[in-house]
Amino acid sequence: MSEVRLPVLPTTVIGSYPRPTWLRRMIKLWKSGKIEDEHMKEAFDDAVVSVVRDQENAGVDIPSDGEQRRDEMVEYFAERIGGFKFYDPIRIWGNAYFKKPAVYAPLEYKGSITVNEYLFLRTVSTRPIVKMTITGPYTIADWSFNEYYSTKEELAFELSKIINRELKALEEAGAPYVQIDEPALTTHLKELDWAVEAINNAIKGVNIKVGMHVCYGEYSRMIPYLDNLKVSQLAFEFANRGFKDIEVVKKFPEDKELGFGVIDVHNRRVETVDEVIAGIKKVLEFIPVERLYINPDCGLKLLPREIAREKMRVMVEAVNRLRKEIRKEGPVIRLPQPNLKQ
Amino acid sequence: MIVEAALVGGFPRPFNFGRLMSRYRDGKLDQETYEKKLEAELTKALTKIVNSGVSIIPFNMFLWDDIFEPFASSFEGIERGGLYRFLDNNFYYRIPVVKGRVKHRDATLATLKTVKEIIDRGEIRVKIKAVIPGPYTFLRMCENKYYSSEEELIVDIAEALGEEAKRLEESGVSLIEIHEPMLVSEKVDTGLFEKAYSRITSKVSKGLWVQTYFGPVSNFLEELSRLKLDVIGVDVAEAPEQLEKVLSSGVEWGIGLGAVDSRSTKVETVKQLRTLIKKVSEKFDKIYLTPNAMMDFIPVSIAYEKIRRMGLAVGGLKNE
Repeated sequence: MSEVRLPVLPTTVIGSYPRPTWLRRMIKLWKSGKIEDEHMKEAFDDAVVSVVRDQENAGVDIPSDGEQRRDEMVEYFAERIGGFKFYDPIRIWGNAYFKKPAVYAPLEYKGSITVNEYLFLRTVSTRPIVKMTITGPYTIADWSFNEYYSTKEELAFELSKIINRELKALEEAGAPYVQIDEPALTTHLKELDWAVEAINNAIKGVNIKVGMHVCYGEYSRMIPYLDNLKVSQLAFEFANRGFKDIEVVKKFPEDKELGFGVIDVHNRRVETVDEVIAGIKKVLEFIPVERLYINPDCGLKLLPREIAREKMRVMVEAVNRLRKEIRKEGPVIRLPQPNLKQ
Repeated sequence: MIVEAALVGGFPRPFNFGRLMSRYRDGKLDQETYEKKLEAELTKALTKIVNSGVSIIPFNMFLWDDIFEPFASSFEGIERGGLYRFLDNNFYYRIPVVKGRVKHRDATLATLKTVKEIIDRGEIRVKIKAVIPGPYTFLRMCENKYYSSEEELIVDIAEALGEEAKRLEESGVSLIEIHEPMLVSEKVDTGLFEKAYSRITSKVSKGLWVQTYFGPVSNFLEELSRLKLDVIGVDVAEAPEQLEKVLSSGVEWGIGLGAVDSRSTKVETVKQLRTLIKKVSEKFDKIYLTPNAMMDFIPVSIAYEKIRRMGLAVGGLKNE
């Protein structure tokens, strides 16, 4: 079994990255039937190459594929799991719409959803470790209409079985690091008890590094529930709130790493290197450097690409300066043995 | 006894309608073309809603992005800020950011005039009501960067909203729907609430409809009963347990019976709705069958089916 030692304060992304303009145009043409599927696939692959290069050129240690193939984080999974259907899109703000799925029949795992994404990313990236993202069972349940199961809890647990199979498929394919995205987790604090159990169910028997990303919520009320969560890392957003309530991490579970959000993804102003350094120094008062990863607050996809690129460059430069002061080794990630039958 | 089907807050803005607005806002569509297309879309939608048996609609329902938009854009001292989650929904609003003394400036009258003209030209027979956010909810869901006390802020917000309500009433709107979802939370500051509502009721004396949703307001009924209201909108779709308390309370206004779940694609049956209406008719003389909240959270096709059932439920009772 091999492993990779990362530099101290490993830098990564949360997942999504702006789609190149040409890709957005291609998708529009494809959806109106003017481009063949094989050409679209080639475009998606090329887009992944482009955005992985963006991240690597900026110096990011652990890139993702930028979720270039995914229009939306719940819709993408619901389209590939049996038992979901779609009505007309619903508005989620302004004139932004979301194809909210509805569960109308028993859920069915129809085969791997993200393994091919991982395998392609692996061939493209020059970095030893890449990150895959999967939308978590609680968020898929919360952002879907439930017309079949008797409760949202029952739906979330059914989804956790499907996500579990997907995680195991990724492990078999050799993926070393998967992040479960659960942005809905902050929405209904009363459901946190069983939501945590559903997420644990999803990672049961999975032997690779699994993190979880949650954003834009009251961490102080949420953190006590997270002790029982069996992920090894939690990635939180802090730049958006101006690193204000950073003290909440005092109660952060000691067995988990913190993915510390230092870049505001909803603001086009590029942070300064000093601002990022100040944020990291602040969190270092509470979390030992060995348990700290550095990332943006959330997915970068809503930013213009050149701004996303610049924000990543600033993030990495800040970390590089700090590394000169902190002469320590970084964390280790185990590489699973790919199952060649894949 | 009056039994009518009514909408509360917003109705789902169809995707094509949203695209039209986007193109206009991005400068890709000139005003004349936009207004022409808008009128065609609105006429089509309003006609469909009215034909389903709904007789009261909020005039703003397709046009605002969220319940705060026109007020945060118009009132002095407030600006629209970043996107925030609207209550516990995967739906977001631009947070009103209070940066100076809040004072009234006309916020919705121009929209009212436009919609009235469209309704008249389309010969659509419907009663319209106005929607404003309640001062208590406004206070809880805005960002205060100016006032040193919540009391000063809520009083000024209530003054401004009350003035808007008064002008809407003077423009011929007979019902003012005040959205107060924060009244279903566990801890409502009664003092602040009373101070705010004394400002509203001093300006508008009739036609006030306080709409609550996503939880029970039954623990706050006593405070509400001290106000001069016409209608209290209660959510019995997500909080059915409060119905008995509402029925045994001392409130004497009309009831907005929020029996249609605006967050679920499961469509209620006519029988279910009729049973509920019959139950509340033992106490209330004025019954408005409504969704429990704005219907923006569900697909438009489902919303149409739900209001069709509402129309059938109410129509059936009228015939009995």
